[in-house]
Amino acid sequence: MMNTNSTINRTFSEQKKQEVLLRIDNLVKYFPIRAGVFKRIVAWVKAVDGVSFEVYKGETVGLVGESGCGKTTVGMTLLRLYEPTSGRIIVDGEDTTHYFLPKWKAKRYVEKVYLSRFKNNNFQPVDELDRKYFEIFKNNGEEGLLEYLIGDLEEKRLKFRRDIQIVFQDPYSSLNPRMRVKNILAEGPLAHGLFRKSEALDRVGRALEEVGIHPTHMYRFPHEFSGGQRQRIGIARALLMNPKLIIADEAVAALDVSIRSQVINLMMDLQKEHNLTYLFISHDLSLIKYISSRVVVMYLGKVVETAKKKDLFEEPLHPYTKALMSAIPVPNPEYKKQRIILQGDVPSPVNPPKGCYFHPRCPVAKPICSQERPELREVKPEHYVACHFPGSL
Amino acid sequence: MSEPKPRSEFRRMMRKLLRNPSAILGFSLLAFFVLVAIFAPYIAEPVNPQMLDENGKPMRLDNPYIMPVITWSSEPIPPSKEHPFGMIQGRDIFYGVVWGTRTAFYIGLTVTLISTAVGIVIGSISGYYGGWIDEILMRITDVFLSIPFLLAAMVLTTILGNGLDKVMIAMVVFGWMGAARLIRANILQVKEEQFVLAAKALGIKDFFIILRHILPNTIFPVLIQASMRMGSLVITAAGLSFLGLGAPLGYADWGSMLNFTRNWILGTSGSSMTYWYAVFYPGMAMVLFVLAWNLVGDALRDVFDPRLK
Repeated sequence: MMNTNSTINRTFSEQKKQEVLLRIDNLVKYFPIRAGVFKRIVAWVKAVDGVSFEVYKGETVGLVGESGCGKTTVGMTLLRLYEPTSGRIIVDGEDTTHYFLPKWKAKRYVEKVYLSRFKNNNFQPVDELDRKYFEIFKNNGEEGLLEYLIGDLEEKRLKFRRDIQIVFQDPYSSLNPRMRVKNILAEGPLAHGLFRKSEALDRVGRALEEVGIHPTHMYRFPHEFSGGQRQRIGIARALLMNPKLIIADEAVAALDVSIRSQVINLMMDLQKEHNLTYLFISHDLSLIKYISSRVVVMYLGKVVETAKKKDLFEEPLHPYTKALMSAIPVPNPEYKKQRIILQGDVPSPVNPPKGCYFHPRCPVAKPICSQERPELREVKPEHYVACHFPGSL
Repeated sequence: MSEPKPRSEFRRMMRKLLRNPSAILGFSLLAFFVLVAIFAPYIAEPVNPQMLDENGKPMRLDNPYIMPVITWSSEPIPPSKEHPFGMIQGRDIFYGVVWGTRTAFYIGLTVTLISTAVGIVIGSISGYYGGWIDEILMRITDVFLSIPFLLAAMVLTTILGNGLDKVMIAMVVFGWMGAARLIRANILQVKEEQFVLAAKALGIKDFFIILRHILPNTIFPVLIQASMRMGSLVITAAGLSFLGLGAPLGYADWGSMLNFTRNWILGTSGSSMTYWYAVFYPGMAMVLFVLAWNLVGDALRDVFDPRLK
């Protein structure tokens, strides 16, 4: 794990009125490219390269960007379907980064990220988490903090799995073709002991009803359903775990438009009923505009802009966001608007450009942009942009 | 509340099987061999007519798998009414073919089951976990694959000593690689499917992910391959027996019976077909047995392969 000290409090201000459910702190995920007989690592694909953002309880955050910008990798890494290269994933005020590591690695992580700093006499806590863990460290010592963070890892893993669930993009590959729907839906809750086997049919039936599928269909196999119905089953599967956060990874991208709106409306209804928080990963800006309360825009593994939806759509400050906005189709043939067409392709995440990752394609790039990488900073209240000249396009 | 579809799925499979003449032939042959194996004590009574007990009846054999010596003639005796397949080395060929069916099933089923199970375990671990584990297990597989099978089996049998069980051990030790490779390749394909990721996100244990999600979607090609291997294993075992490595002398095993014919295979001078029955009956049993399993394997592939639906 990389050192996170310098970046812990880099991006977001302290003034939070809402409760933070998920905080991603400088998340990095590199994939190795191996070559040769000995499978030596010759390069790294920098899929996610220092992403930080927060998700508040009860809101819907839209994570948007073009194909290959790393938005799906963020989702997968945060679920620990991939192990992060570095950075922290904080859920409900607890660091969960080390949960899915073997115990000795988890211990090494805690020592590196917390204990080594806490043992320093000039230690100054930089965020809420630091204060909380330092308190434990002061009262119970090193052993106490280790016990608090890496004791009962298995228990913690299961809790994490219950708290965060995912709805996948492809309704055709996200359900096991050889299992009946009732088994697909009951598998998770039974493994976690959320209900007893005798209750399973009842609970599964109710969950199906909630997503608009007739409960008697629970004996069917996935191939007997349409794409939209399968996606509903996928949602029911996530829902049965009583999650706090649902990650929707392009959850409706594969559906046709009429079904898409049904599924979206269903998800919004469920959000109200179950107090859910959504992280919507999508490339579809009009969808993001419809559902989310805040938006995070990614480009080439980095966050370029994040703001409340209203602010972002009314006044995009990053040139990339602006270009994306201008590409939203408007259903009015009379309407002629100025399109910003970006030149060139997205650079390879193996060799990202120096300076601002966006400068080779940026219509307003200045010399400094190819030299210095702009950090994400708060330009307006709760509106963060990583650009040297925000709003200049 | 009904589950009509799976049943109709099953019915569809059965219909498909019944419409395929080679599948019918395969399954009937197999059924015939199964019946012969089950009713072997009635078809060829395990008694020694040369030795009578106190009641004047032929004595029952202690071990029915050892063919009784019923004549001391060293030359093969052609088929007669009493011994319809003839006799060789003083033993009844009919008796050997009938009881050899049991041996064939015993060898085929045991070796296939164990080697396929070993292959599935190794291949699953290799494919599912990937990385170093995969690398190590696959290199071990390569090492085993690089040794010529017959040679390796012969060496191992020589080390372990003669006997049917030793041959079977050798065949398992050098016979699991195909299944391992096959299941690994399939798992590599399936493990990136979203339902596997979803199961991980649900917090399902690796063991159950493999058992419930990955194996059911990968195992059919392995089962088909296993059924085809069943036949060829019997040939291999026969080959080893023919070389004198397998079953002990006089064991009711098609391969050892062919071993008896080594001296008579060319017939007498001028008529090479003199002792045809010595080769023909055990050989025919073997050919039909292999054919049955191959046809069954083919039929299973047609039924299970979704691309051929």
